[in-house]
Amino acid sequence: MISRKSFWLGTLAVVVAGLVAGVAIGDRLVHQPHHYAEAAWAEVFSSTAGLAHGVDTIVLAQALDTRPGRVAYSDNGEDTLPFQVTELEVIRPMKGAREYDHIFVERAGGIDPEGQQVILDADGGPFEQGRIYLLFLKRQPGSNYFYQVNDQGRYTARGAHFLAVNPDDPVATTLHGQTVEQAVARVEAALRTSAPRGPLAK
Amino acid sequence: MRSSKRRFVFWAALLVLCAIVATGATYASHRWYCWKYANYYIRWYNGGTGDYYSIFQEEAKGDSNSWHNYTDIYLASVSSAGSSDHVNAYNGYYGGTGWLGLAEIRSYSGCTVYNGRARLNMSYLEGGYSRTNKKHVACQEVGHLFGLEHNRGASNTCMNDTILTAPYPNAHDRDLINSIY
Repeated sequence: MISRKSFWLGTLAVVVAGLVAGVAIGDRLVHQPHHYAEAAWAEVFSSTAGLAHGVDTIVLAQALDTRPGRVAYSDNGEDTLPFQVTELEVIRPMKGAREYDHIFVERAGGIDPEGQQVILDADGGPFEQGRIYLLFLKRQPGSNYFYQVNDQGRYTARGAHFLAVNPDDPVATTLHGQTVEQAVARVEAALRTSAPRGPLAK
Repeated sequence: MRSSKRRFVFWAALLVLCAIVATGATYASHRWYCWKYANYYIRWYNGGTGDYYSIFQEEAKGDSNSWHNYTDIYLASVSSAGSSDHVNAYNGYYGGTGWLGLAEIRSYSGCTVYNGRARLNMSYLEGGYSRTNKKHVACQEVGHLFGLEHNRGASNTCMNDTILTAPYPNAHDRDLINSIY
């Protein structure tokens, strides 16, 4: 016979396991942001310092306006990929861009030549007008445009806190949920450290 | 004696139950939202050019550990792009975007994907990346469209987005795909 103690211990273990699994599954399937795109980023960083040192520009900036940009085509000409350009007012330059009041960030997405909305949100999606962002950017070769380095490179101010594109990412975790002041302090501290190893295994 | 045997069976059964629950949670953690095609039979359009055509073809259908050969998914090659149960694959010079490859859920209803698009960005990939690297990215983008998320916990799968040296799904990917389809 199973003792009463064993029975209740077993029941408790099953309940705890169920709760843990429920949280894990529920968090992914219910609360996970509804993404329509995934990307293999050219650079993925293993630390906040690596991210800070690996980009050209870090800014705290407010999105002003987004306009349609170029359209890229696949090599066989069948696939069209629209781009959009967002103008942001620089509130606080932390690395590079100290000479700019405004910067322009290009990203894939928008309306394609057939008039279809192309939703690409692996980078966090379109910038929201008026919203404040902490951005880690690289400069487009031969252009004044910047692009977001990867999904570790955008933090959106919601209320008093920054939200990461992918809060599960170990680097994004260090800035996700931080206040503006805390995040800025962490980035500036990261910039004061010596440059660590490059991006992960790429 | 009898009592201790029963106790052993009870605790063993409990352990198995917990393992099943934990396995379910692990699988769920590598699922991309709830995206999936309607069933295992998916139309495959390869719009790649040059060696990128071969790379897409090997990763999707040709290699012994391709998605088609290694999992329950059946990819039916079609000669033109489409928007009903289609995976459409392309390569191009998309410019400085930060990404080597992109998987896009182009059209869907609820969790069911009708049209998924995989892209390889030659602006980066033609700049010193090996053929193995390109195959890794192609494998990953196609794998996303079947419903898989990145997996940084294993170094033997193309779904790991921190490496570019494993151009194939692993057993975990296969089991997860087979549980979805």
